[in-house]
Amino acid sequence: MSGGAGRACGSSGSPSRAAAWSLALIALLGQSARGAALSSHIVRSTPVTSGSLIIGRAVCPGRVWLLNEHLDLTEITPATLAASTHAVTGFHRDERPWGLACSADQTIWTLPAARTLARLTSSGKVVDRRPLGVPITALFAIGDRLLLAPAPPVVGFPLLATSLPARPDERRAWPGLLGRAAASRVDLFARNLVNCGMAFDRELPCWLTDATEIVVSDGVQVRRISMPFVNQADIDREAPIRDVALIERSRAWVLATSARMVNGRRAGGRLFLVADGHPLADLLLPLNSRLIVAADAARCVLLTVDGHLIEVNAR
Amino acid sequence: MSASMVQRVVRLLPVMLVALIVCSDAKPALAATCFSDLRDCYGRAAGRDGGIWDMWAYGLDCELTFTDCTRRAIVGR
Repeated sequence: MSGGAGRACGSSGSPSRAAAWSLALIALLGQSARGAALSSHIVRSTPVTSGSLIIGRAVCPGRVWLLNEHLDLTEITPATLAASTHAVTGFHRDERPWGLACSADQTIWTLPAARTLARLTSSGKVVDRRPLGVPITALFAIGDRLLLAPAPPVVGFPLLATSLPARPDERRAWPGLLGRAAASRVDLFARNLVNCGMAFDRELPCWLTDATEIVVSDGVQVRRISMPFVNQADIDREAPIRDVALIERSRAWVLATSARMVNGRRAGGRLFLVADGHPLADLLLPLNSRLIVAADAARCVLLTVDGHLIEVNAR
Repeated sequence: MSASMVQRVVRLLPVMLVALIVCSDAKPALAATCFSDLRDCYGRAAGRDGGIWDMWAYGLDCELTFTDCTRRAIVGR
C-alpha cells in the first residue's frame, strides 16, 4: 500500500462575473417571503469535489474532510475555502467504506466494512485497522470519542454509543435517539437509520432519517427540537432533514431535502435558520446543496451538487 | 426440542425468510433496489447448507448490505 498521490483541486477561486450575476439573480428570485433575512452568493466556483456520492464528513478544528464513493478524501479549509483531494489507498477490494469522523486528536476514522474501523492519514492512506466485535452502521465523533451505531438496532434502547478509538468495542450508550419498533425485521433497519450533523461545543444534533425532529445530546442531557415547519410542499417527506449545524445552544442551520431529486439523488433545497425550535428565516437555495461545510451565527457555507461552495448570510 | 422438530424448522426456514419479506410493510419507494437485493440475499441465505447458524450469520450480512444500500440512497450526500 502506498500513499495516495495528491490531487490538488486548485486554490480558492473566484466566480466569473457572468456566473456571479446569474447566481445573484437566481438567489433573488428564489428567496421566499420568510427568507428575506437570508441571502446567498457563490464563494468558490472551482469544484472542491467530484459528483461522486459523499459517504462521510469529518469536522476537525479549522478543517473539514469529505470521503466519497470514488474513495477520494477531500480536505477543505473553511477560513480560506482552499481544498485538496487525495485518492484513498489501502481499502480491500471487497470493502464498501462508510462514514468519516475526526476525533479530538485530529485523527480521521472510517468504517471500511461494518466490522472494521480504520484510521486514514491526511494523505489518504488506510492505516491502523481495528476489528469490531459488533457490526457498526454509522460513524461520527464527539470530542475524543467516536459515535457509533451498532447493528441490529434495539427497540427502546439508544441507537448510538460512544467509544475511544483505541478501544472501539468498549461502548458507552449515547442517550438521545432510541430504536423504533417496526412491523418486520427489515423495517427495523430501514426505520432506524441515523444521521448526525455538526456539533457545537459538546452538543451533537442527530436525527432519524424520516423525522422532522432533531435530538441534541451531550452524552448526559438530551434536548428534542421539533421542526414541523420543515414539512413544506417542496421538501422530501421521506427524508426531510439533510443536514444540521448547531451554532449556539439554541440556534441551528437546518438544510432540508428538496422534494425533487437531482441526478437521481437527494439534495438540500431549502436552508432554515432556527432558534429555539422556531424558524427565524429560510431561503430556497439557488443551487441544490449536498451538505453544510461550515457554519457560525452569521453564515453557513454549503457544498452544492456541482461541487461549488455557496455562502448563506444572515442579516 | 426434538431432532425431528429441528429438522422441520430448518426445512421451513427458506419459506419463513421469504414470508418475512412478503409480509413486511417495507416501503419499496424508499429504495426499491435495496429491498429486491435483500429478498435475493435472503433467498441465498435460505439455500445455504451449513446449518442454521450459517444461515443466520449469512442473513445478518444480508441485512448489513441492505442497510448500506438504504443509507447510500437516503443518507449519502
